This record gives sequence, C-alpha cells and structure tokens, in this order.
Amino acid sequence: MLQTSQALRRAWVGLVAITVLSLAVAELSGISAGVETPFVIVAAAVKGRIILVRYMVERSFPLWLRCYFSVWLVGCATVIIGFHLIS
Amino acid sequence: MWAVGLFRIMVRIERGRILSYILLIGGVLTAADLMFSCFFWLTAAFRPEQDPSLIQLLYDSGWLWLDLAFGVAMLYMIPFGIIALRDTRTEPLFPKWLAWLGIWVAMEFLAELIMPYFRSGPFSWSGLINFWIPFVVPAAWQVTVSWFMLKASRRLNEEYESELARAEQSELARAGQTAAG
Amino acid sequence: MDRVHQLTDTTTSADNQDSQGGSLPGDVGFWTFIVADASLFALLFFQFSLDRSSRPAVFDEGRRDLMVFFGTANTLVLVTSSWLMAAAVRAMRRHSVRTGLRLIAGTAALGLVFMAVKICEYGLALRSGHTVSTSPFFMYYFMITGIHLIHLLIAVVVVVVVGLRLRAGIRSPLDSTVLECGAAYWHLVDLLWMFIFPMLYLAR
Repeated sequence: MLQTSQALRRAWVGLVAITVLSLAVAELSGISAGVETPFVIVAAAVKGRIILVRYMVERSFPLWLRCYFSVWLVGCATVIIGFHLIS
Repeated sequence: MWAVGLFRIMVRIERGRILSYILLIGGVLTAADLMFSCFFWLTAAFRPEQDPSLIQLLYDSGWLWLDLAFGVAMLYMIPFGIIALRDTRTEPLFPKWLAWLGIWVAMEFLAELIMPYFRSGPFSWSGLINFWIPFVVPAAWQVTVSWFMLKASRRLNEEYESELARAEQSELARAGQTAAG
Repeated sequence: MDRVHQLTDTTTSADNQDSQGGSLPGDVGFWTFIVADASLFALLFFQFSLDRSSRPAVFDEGRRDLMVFFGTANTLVLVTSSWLMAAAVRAMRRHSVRTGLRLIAGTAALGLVFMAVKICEYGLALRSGHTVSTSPFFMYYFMITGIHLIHLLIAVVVVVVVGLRLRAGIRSPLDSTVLECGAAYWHLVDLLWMFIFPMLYLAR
C-alpha cells in the first residue's frame, strides 16, 4: 500500500497551486466577500481531501474513518461558510 | 476506590510497578482536588447573606483550583494509556482506542492551564474548551474504563484459576513420577 | 499491491487489515487520537465562526492586521514538509534507510521553520499591541494557532526521536509503527492548517 513518488509530487503541486490561487482570489482580485470566502474555504476542503487521499492514504482507511473525515471536511467548510454568509 | 481497583488490575499487566503506583497516586490526588473545590463552594454557600464579592471570590477560587489542579488527572490517565498499550495478551484487557483516548484527554487538560487568562468565552472556566470537553469527555471515558475493568477482573480471575489448576496438575504429575521412580 | 514490501511487523499489519485488504498506517488505536484532535479543532472552527457572526466588523478589523505573507509562507512550508514526510514513510517501507533519514531530517527542519515563522509573527503582533485579551479575533488567533503550534511541536519531537534512533542503528518494528503514527499526525497538522489559514487570514 505505497503511494508512488509521482503521486506524492503531483499532490504537492496541486496543494501549492490551490494555495496560490486562493491567495490571488483573496488578496489581488476585487471579488466581493460573498464570493471570495466560499471560494477560499472550499479550496481548503479540496486541499484537505488531497492530503487525505495522497498523503494519509485514505483508501486504506476503514469505513468509519472515511465517513468521519468526509463529514469533517464537508462539515467544517459548511459551518465556516455558513456563518460568514449570515453575518 | 476506583483508583485502587484500577491499580490492582494494572499491576497484573505491568511488569515493573512504577506506572501503576503513579496511576494510584493520580487517582487519589484527583479525588482530593475535587474535595477542596467543594470546600470553597460550600463555604461560599454557607452564608448567602454575606458580601457578594466574597462569595464571588470563593466561587472563583473553587474553579481556579479545580481546573489548574486537574492536571493531576493526567497522572492516572497517561500511565493507564501506556500500560494498556503495552499489554502483551493476544486480546488485551483494555482496547487500544480507549488507551489513546485517555492519553488525548490528558493532553487536553494542558489547555486548562490557559484558563486563568479568560473570564468569558470558550476558554474560560465555563466555556466549551475548558468546561464541556475536560469534564464530559473524561466522565464518559471513565465510565467506559469501568465497564472494561469489570470484564478484566473476571478474565483475570479465570486466568488465575486456570494457572492454579495447571500448577496443581504439574504437582500431581511430579508426585506420580517420584512415586513410580 | 505492495504488501510484500510492508515494513510494519506482522501483528500490526494483521490488526490493521480492513475489509478491502488494505493496511491502515500506524497503530489502529492511534487513529482515535487523531479523530479526537480533529474533532477538537472542528469545534474551535465552529466556535470561531459563531462568535464572528455576531461581531463581523471587529473580527474583520483584526484580520486586516494579520500579515498574509507569513500565513502563506507557512502554508507552503507545511505542505512541503508533508510531502517529505510521506516520502520518508515510503522510503522506510522500501527499506531505503538512508533516503528515509534524509527525508525525516528535511521534514523536521521544515517543521522548525514553520515554528520560527510563527514566533516571528507572534512577536510582531504583540509589538503592535495585540494580545489574547485585546480583541476576540486575536483571542482566537493566538489560541487556535497556538494550540496548532503545540501539535506541530509534538509531531516534530516524535519525528526527531525516530530519526535519531534510526541514525543510531536501532531497527525495531515499533519504530516503524511510531513513524507511521507520527506521519499521520503530521498530515493531520497540515490538514488543520489548510483550514486555519483561510479562516483566519483570508475569509472576509
């Protein structure tokens, strides 16, 4: 159950790219908060998923653990975005 | 008493005895910690007609004492975790996840140390982080551990009896051999 | 797949087999620890968001005082360290001890870089007059990043200890389990930061 070094490298590239993109959207574009916040938080969830699948080898997780992290990612993103949008 | 019971079981798992003794001391100190806080609160409630700022002082003292000294609970949770994890039986007396949960809760108590800086919010004594988690989770953990303690003591009794039976049999076998020879 | 090359001892592998025949890294019980930690942070995120929703202006004002540059730098450092950590576990499983050691050293070094940057950031914030009690935003900022930092510190210590034992020539199945647990913990720290960074620094 080993990840290939290519897979690990690609994961890194993806994580860096999404980080830079989030930064660009948040700081450099003139996008309103209502669009920017969901974008950066969803980007965070996507990055989290990459870490789970590639680095933590999610496919080796038992079902309960997979469910937990799926709920965790979706839940955290929803809560943060939700409270930001209603304030 | 709970600590003594746990100590007796842990001693059967651990080869040396140091961690088990630390566990026992931790259990006793935790009980003492709770006792002292109750003294403060009892004193505050004893004369409700007195100056409210005095009542506040005693009340706060009770909580500050409880939360800061609750670190002693780490003294029985971490040794429990270590001993339970090192259990070499094919089916350990305590599940590994319970051991790790105990260790996690013990580490969380460290967050309690930050409590005096906050009078309101989630990090104050009544907040989410410093009240609900450090008291509700360990309580649930302790109940679960107690359940496993009951199972463990039954198993240990069975182990002891089967060891005794085996010792008797080998005694008889040896006696039979010397009689024949 | 690559089961023949698994370095973990046979009892751990047997314990960790899930129904699909894969093998959960590290010790199964340890994932309880990870789940507990992840849950704690989820609660912190919830609490932060809830508090923010009642006072968005105060929180936004605090956020604007943060230096996004530091946060971004730390994100890139942590993400890279996670890559090295995963590569180290892979190297150890393939019995490439020397490569593994170098990768472990790199991981720990980047962890220390993260901590150094964070401390600089704290220093600057404190010098600007922000403390845990000056505003609710900064209370959360210091507490959340502080607790995260302690988690990283623990992860660095574990990784360094494993690395030192490896360098001293100690080879035991327990070390490989500890390394995998340490790696899982490292990735959790990374995962948490993926949310902490945008939540505190970017989200308006």
